[in-house]
Amino acid sequence: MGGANLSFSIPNSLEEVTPACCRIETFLNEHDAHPRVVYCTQLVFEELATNIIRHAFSDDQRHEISIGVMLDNDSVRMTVEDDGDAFDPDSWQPDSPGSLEEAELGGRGLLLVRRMSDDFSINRESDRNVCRVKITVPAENKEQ
Amino acid sequence: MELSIISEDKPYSYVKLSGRLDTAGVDTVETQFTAATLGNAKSAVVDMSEVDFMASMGIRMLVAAAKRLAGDGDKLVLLNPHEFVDETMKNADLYMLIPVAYSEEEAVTLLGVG
Repeated sequence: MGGANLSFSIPNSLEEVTPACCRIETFLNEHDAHPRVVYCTQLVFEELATNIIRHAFSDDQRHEISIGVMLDNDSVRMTVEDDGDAFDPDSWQPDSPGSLEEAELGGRGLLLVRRMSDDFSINRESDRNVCRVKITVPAENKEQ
Repeated sequence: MELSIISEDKPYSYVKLSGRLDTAGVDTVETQFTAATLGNAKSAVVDMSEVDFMASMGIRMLVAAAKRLAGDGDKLVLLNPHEFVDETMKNADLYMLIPVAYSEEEAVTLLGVG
């Protein structure tokens, strides 16, 4: 399995998220990525894209979200960029409910991004949010 | 995303989800899922074996149903989730709140209706 790249963009519409996820899945499967990497990359993209579309834009205009996926050996590096409002992921902390009664219905997306990726950062660069994520195959999964 | 009713003759609602439980999948199936799991005044088993992808919106749908069932003293149990779907539940910190079973017998035991 060698290096391979995928770049594309989608408008800020929730209807575009699942087709984009499937495009990433097809690309990774065509290049024999590990099943866990395929799953986690889709999951991380779904959570990032839906968060951007729901929360990043304070107008009703069309915006483009740029996606880059780089597959190299056992790892994926993905970038997701938008021109929405600045976002500090450290400003948000999920609850850790002890019971169903305490559990909030939402707010698990960024927690999943953090826990199902190896590196995760969001930086403000030239009035754009640039999210970078790395996803690798855990050692215990490499024989699959 | 599809929902099917496995049985209507058991002391618990028994349904099966199939496909991608993501934002689009939840939009497609949530109304039907809510009716099938909350409309019978009894606990529910949700066969997850054919759910090949689950995002936070899918988790939200499951938690919403589990919370409403718990309010009536009932439970929701997930049956046979795919390995990575199982990992997703664990990483969402909700694994201990919605029981997971790996056979119908185990699910019945967890529900306490056997």
